[in-house]
Amino acid sequence: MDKLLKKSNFIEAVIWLAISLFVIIYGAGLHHGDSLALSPALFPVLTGTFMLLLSFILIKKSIKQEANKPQDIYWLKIIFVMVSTIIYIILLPIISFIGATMLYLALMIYLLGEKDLLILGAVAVGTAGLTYYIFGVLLNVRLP
Amino acid sequence: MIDLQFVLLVLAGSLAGLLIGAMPGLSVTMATALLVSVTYTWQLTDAIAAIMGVYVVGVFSGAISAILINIPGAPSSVATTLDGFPMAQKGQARQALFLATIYSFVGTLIGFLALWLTAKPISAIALRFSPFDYFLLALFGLTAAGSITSKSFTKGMLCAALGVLISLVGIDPIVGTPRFAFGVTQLKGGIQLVAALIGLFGFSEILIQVGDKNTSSVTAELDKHKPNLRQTLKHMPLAMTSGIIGTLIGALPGAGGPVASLVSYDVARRRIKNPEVPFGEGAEEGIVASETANNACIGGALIPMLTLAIPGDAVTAVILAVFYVHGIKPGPFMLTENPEIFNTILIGGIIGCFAMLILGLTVAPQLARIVQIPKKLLLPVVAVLCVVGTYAVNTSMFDVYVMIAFGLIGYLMRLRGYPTAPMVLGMVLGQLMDSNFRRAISLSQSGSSIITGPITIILLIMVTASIFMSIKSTEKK
Repeated sequence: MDKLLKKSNFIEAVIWLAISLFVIIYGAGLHHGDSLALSPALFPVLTGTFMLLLSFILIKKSIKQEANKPQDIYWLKIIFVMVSTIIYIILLPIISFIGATMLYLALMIYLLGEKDLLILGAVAVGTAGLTYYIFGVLLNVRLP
Repeated sequence: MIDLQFVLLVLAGSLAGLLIGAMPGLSVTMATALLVSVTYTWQLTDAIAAIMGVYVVGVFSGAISAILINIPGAPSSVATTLDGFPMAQKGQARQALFLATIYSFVGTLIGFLALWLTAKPISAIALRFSPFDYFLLALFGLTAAGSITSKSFTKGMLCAALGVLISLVGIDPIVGTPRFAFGVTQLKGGIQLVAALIGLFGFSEILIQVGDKNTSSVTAELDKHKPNLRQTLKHMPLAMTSGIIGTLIGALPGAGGPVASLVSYDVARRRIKNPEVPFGEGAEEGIVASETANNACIGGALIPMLTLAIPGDAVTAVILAVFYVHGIKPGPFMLTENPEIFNTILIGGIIGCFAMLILGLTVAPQLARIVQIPKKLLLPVVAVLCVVGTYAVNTSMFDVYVMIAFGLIGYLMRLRGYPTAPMVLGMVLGQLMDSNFRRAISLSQSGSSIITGPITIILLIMVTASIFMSIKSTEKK
């Protein structure tokens, strides 16, 4: 387990290395013969080079350092929140703000552990309505 | 300019700040970012009024849940839990809240006094900055943020560099060609700062709370004892020191309330050898040090933001966005070209300060139930607010997707020990660094020296010292 965790630090450092190399190569491609001082490539290449040096330091540290302790996380809940929020955003222009928001809130509250349907319904409907009224009507904010 | 509407908006913002700051899972930064979109069509003075109310009272009200349920409502109240909750457990919750209120008030006044006294002199110096000086100042800000906010200088600087790269997405301001847009039309307009901030501080916090397996919380009972004013006021000398520490740390880019309160707490612990109650077991001095410093930080953070356009913390980074949205450019010219804005911020902050005093003495003790709203009900509501707030800025669903992406990035960063403050600072300062650096190089190619005077030399020394000391201190860790 320790080796695996240490490996995750190493993988993380390699990802930074890959990002730096990408930035340098992409950045260099922005230069089209204009003066170097005014070139849009200058700062991205410099920043990418700086990141490259830091990546090497991180790689060296990841080989030497102790592994981090494993973290106890509800990964399934995280994935659920991400997916349901993206679906919510997709549904917003399709079934209106209030409809999409009520559905999203009901689903999220249920799957985060609230089993009392009365509370679930009250919070979902109440929040959707209140948000619409406060932002859309009172504060005149454009809602999705 | 300052009329009844202005005062009422500060009070409304103060009330909102009280509720938001007290609830773990909601942050003042997120609330301020949401306010950017809500106040988009408002007059700038009205927007500032609401934001200053939220900012000043929101920072203080993190102490409420820190004292009552041992969970800081805001990161800057972490140090307050160390002695606030033990005091509450001993039946002294009211005294603890009273201390937090009084000394947050004192700290805020110290910070705003420093802002009032130093803004003009600093602006006068900044008017003499060359492009290379601005670049060095921004670089100093990033290196300071990279080391202060992280145990690893390398990770801090990688985050800062990533922030700079994100700021470069869009059309190059000098030549006009797209950078890092990858053919996506919406990216040619750049990454919306407010969307990124709501993602980093709002949505990522939701993911942190959802993923956290530790859901237990214990509430201390609110006692009926009247707070002791004489006992409270004897800590004023300590408050003066803590206020100065908070103001100075607030002025350092990226540092902010959490650093200020912890440093101040540590200094108090070392200086006061024989407190009546030991630190960590309910020492009043612990609350005084933490709360004075984290509120003094507000004025401190506004100093570089207003005079140099370099935010002192995440909230001032958002306030910068408010200015840009309203077409105002903070910096050394602002005090001469728009002095009324500086005065508006000062007055808004002072009114917010008095609102905090009143709300802290009357309403705050009654918030015990509200701070315990279950996460399963609160977090989905916060997610909806994140979507609404992000969309409202540009009415762009693309920005909402950006917000989600930054929420995930922010969550992974926090999980892997990467600080978000340097990245935010990089995003705010990146364009400034890019354009000033290229201007400096261009000027040097046409014969001017890159080192234009003593200011450049001082800044070079500061940057070098900051990098050297950061590497040294992280090697020790």
